[in-house]
Amino acid sequence: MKVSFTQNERGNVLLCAVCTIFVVSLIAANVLLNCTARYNQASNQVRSWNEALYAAESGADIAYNEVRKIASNPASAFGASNGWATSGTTYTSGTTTFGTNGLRTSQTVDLFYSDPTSGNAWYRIRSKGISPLQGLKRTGMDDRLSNGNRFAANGATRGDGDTLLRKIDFKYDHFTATYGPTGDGTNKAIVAVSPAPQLSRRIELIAAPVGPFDDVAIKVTGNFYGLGSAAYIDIYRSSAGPYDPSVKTNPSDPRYADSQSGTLPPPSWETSTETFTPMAERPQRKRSTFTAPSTTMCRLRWTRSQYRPTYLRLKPRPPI
Amino acid sequence: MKLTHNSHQSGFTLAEILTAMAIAVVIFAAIITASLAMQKSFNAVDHYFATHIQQVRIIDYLNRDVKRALICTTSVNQQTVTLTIPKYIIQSGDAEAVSNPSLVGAMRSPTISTTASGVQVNYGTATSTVVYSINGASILRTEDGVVTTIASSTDQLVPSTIDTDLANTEKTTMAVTFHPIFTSGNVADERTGTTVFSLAYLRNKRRG
Repeated sequence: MKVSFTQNERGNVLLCAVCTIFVVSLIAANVLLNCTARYNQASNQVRSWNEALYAAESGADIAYNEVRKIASNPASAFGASNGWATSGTTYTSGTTTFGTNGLRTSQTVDLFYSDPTSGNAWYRIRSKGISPLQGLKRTGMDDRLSNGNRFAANGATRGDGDTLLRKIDFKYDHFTATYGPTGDGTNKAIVAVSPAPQLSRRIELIAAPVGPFDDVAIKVTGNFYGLGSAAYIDIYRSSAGPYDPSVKTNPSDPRYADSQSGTLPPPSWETSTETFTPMAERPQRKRSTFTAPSTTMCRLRWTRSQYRPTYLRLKPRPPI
Repeated sequence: MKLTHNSHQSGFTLAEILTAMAIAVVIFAAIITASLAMQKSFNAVDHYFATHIQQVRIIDYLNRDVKRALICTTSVNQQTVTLTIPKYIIQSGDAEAVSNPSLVGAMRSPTISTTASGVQVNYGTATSTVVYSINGASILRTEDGVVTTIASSTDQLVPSTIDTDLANTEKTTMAVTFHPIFTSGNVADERTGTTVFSLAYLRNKRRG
């Protein structure tokens, strides 16, 4: 009997090598898959979520700048040439795109309150910031898909883990589906996002009118005979520029005359019990006699027709 | 029958086989040890990044709530944070919703009131209470009694929050650490090395 080896028996070695490579490749692929998912979530999704807030903050600054024009240059405030549309006392901006990541922002400003005393307007600024989702179009590893409602566009509970906090619009705009396009609960609709998955965040802030004299007060106890000849009221024309406390003692300043006599109408003096009007042109010479029933704070207040307020941004509402 | 001797078909000597087996054992031992080490390292790294993601999530949750809060109170042991938040959105059971159920989910319009401390902007009269707390290995966020687990890890996540009253507002500093599963030395140092820190200011005027 002749015993001989055939060429086919050499395939065992090749098969073992291929199997080993296959197993090692599976392990490597698993490592890469997990690392990619972690990186995508920890870096791209968190970054886009934070950038959306930055975009909303930038949009709020854009709108706040328009509100300030109401004080400095009313004719140019919320101008159509800057992309603003006006409907009554509500102003809506166009969409501003900026940054290398294509951040977008849009705003709505509305007059929501008028001071009954001064007539000054308070404005609410609603700003929306959108950041396109960078990286993979994929949820994180901690966002379980055990419930069919978790990623429904208008589901009561949307996702777990990061998805519950960072509501990513992979395919549909969750805000429009849940609250409506303006957030007033009307016109809810399933609207596809375009052109890519995105994250949107919204903030709200209040632009409050602030007059230079709002904090001026005179403490009166018993009889009050006016300010006296050595005193003055720091009257000021806010439409002529920012408030400068040195004007009233600087005769070379063109606004000095205003601070001493000025052409502004007289202020009304308000107390908790009565109101009277001092002399017009030179308030420091006022000699009106006022008998306060007790210690009373007298506040000088000008009406809106007499000064233009500056605006202070405050009370921003955080993102939802 | 005549057997032909072919040198290619000759066997191995015992010494050759023993030597080959010894070498094979060493090689397999090295491969198995390396595989186990790689698996352990992979698990450790995977846990590290998974826990890091939860760190960032805790920070982002707290940041968002602190910024919109009226009051922020931290317990003495810095493990529990209680926040009072305006109800910016009309919810079921609110006065507006009782009279007009279609308003549920709508944003509440602000109102202005003058108080002894100045002008206040209010979003309704009711507020929501949000509490962050630790329960075992989980970090819980409870809003008006509804509990949400925002992070859960066997790596001993520990958030620490301090609130500081300022003149008209308040700031809160937050630090979240965890204990990585691959530990090689000083546990305290390893935990410190995982610290993620954040600072947030209340954007509303402090009410309490």
